[in-house]
Amino acid sequence: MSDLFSVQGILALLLGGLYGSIFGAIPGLTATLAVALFIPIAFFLDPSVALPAIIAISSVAIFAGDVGSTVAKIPGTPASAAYFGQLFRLSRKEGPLYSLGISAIGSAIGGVIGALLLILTASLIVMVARQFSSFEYFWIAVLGLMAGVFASGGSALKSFASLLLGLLFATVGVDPTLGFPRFHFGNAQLMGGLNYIVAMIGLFGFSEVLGHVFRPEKNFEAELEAERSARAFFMRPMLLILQKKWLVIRSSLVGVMVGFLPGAGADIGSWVSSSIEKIKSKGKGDAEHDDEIILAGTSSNNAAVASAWIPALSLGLPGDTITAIVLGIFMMKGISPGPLLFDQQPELITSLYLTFIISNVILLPCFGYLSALMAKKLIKTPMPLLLSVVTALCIVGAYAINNDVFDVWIMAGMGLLAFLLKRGGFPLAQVVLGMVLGPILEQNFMVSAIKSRWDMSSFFDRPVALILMAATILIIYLGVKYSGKMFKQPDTEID
Amino acid sequence: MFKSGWRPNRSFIYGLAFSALGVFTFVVSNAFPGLPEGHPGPGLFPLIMGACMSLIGLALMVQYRSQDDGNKHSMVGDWISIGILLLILIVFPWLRNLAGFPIALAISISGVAMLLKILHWKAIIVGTSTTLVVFLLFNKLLQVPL
Repeated sequence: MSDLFSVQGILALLLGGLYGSIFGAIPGLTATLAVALFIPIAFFLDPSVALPAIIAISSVAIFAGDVGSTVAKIPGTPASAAYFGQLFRLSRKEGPLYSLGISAIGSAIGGVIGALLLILTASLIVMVARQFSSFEYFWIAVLGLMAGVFASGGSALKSFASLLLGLLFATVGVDPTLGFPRFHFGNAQLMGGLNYIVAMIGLFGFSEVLGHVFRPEKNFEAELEAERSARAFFMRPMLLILQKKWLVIRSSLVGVMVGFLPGAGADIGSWVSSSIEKIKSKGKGDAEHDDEIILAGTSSNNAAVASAWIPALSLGLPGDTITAIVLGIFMMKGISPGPLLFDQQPELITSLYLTFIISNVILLPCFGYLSALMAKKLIKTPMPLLLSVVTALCIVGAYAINNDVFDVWIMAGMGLLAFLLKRGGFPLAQVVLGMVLGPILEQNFMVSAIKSRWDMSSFFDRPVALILMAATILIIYLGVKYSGKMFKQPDTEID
Repeated sequence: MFKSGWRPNRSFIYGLAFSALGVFTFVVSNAFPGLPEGHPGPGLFPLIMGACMSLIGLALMVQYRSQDDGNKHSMVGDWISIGILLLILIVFPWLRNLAGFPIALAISISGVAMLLKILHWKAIIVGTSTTLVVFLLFNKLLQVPL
């Protein structure tokens, strides 16, 4: 905890917040990309500094995604795409500082609710997790994978395909249980497996460059109104939130529940909550309810940012792509996420909790106000210049992890794959989910099977395992029944 | 299954690719050794992955054989630039061995900047200055050898 209040810690928070606000504000640059590009730096920082910086980056970047929506109807992040039309319309009606104020203050409150639930429930989940054996971890992994498929927001069939691709990548290299090398094709560098972090730099960073080279996107030139009133940004949104407190609480809870599911995260939380408000406002004149829809989406996405850390910290399962990256950093640093983390690193856990509160209560409103004012300058940065820097960071980031140029090729290959998957309407988050959960799923299945002498009934005769299995079946049933997506949903761009 | 004058849409082609990858995975992992007493070994999961990918690929092909897949992403674009960009990264290791990491990075980023339609002399400035900043950040500030 002392590291958080050291000069390094405070600088990490401030620079993380600034970096997140710049990234989120620029269309095409997502919170995930911001965190992915931060990996090479995080790799060489102490976890007690790197992890708070990641929390600050993600909390502020998710909000800052709304800046692009406000200025030019271009959402900066997938999470803000859920209500970008309403934000743009409200900014033209009431001014950009007011609409961004609703977004920032709503995000802050949602984030605090998510953080409080993280603080309150993570320890409880840890107590349950202490009773877990390989059987329960196997079912948790299955539950996470299924939740990821159905919570994607697009075609479940394509989500499943992306997930299988990630699971397949996870089988490259030495088998985690039996030590047999697989799919290395005689290449010694593939024996160690596909580096998870290198893959993500390619999937989320380099694919953006490929996309722009393929079809250049224009910078938007809209002017942000020179409305500098702090009242419009802070006071009026606060009054609105007081009037709509139940909406904010409800949306934050939805965000928490969605964010908690492995593979879902802020994007899905935002879509679910704003969709609920859109359905509720149907027939009453959509424009009148713009502020409610924005509030629902924005409070939900930041609540989900915090709650995604609950399974990551207590069970070692990523709630979203950002926590998937965080788990990668844990692994790189030799820290084992899960119940033992709470015993072995209590200071780190306390520092993470505090960071969430500080990020949402102080950093988010301050950087929110600043990013609204800075947006005018930032959006004029030529995209080619920006993407040149992104390319340099991708190359150096991929290379620096192992000091191996082969990783640059892996990064480029993953970038090309992500570029093609996006053009086919396949989500990318599920690829990452598969890569993260694949080894957990396989190792726990094999260990359980060998332990029980291949008696498959042992997977079903433990009470917690049965509950997890029932939850998995329920998710599949609800996913197929209510979304009707498995075989009908058209393509949607998810990541 | 297919109407006359039928043309495959993009999702159908992706389905075909997934199926082919699934079959390949299945065939390769079938050669992995098993455990004693006939129990499945390291090939079990890849086999399941391969089988599932083949089935998902088939399901995609059946699902999208006749309907519009609603895909808004155009496949019409600058494929040559994509190829050149990938080529820059493919030759990067050799360039690094030849000239060292900073020069290789500066040349590569200048090339990427040109592909991104930055004017030639400006691209060289972008490549050099970006390399300088990134190199200083990693090598000097973070003490990461490049």
